[in-house]
Amino acid sequence: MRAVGKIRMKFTGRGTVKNPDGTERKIVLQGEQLVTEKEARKYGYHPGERS
Amino acid sequence: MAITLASGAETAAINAAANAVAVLVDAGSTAGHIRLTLANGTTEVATCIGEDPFFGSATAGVCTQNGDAIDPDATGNAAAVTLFQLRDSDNATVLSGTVAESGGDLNIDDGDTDGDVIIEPNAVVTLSGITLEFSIA
Repeated sequence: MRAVGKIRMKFTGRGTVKNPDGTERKIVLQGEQLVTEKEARKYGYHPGERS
Repeated sequence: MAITLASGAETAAINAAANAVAVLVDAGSTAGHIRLTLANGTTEVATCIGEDPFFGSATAGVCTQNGDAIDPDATGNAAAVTLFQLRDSDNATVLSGTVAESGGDLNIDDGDTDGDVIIEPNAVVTLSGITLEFSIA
């Protein structure tokens, strides 16, 4: 059991861009968003309240 | 007083969250895509179309991309790409982020260090191994 503090969302991946001249470049996806309890309240999260 | 989640409930919650977002990418009639745009958010530079469904089902809060998302012939632009959107085939945005050479959500090494990401017309842009992960921190 552990307390619900924050919710983390991560969006990761990789890729390439291949140019017409044949050169190739790398892509790195590394997005992350941490939602705090305060922010989650905006979306209806109410800890401790009876349903 | 903080609530606590049992581990089984936590796994169910993060899987449900990941699947709920992943399925939005498939909401249109065909495959979802990742679009790269200029700073105005509307001028398209490349559109990488994925498989349908875009992601597999979540395991331990992680949805993994099916196959690759590819633009075989990018529109390109002389101006810098600064934004991306993950969208369904009806162009509804599910997730968006920044594009940069480094420090962005999606980073592209375009071969120079001027800070701008330039994608040339007719470039082939491939995105693979994308994961969408939810966890409780």
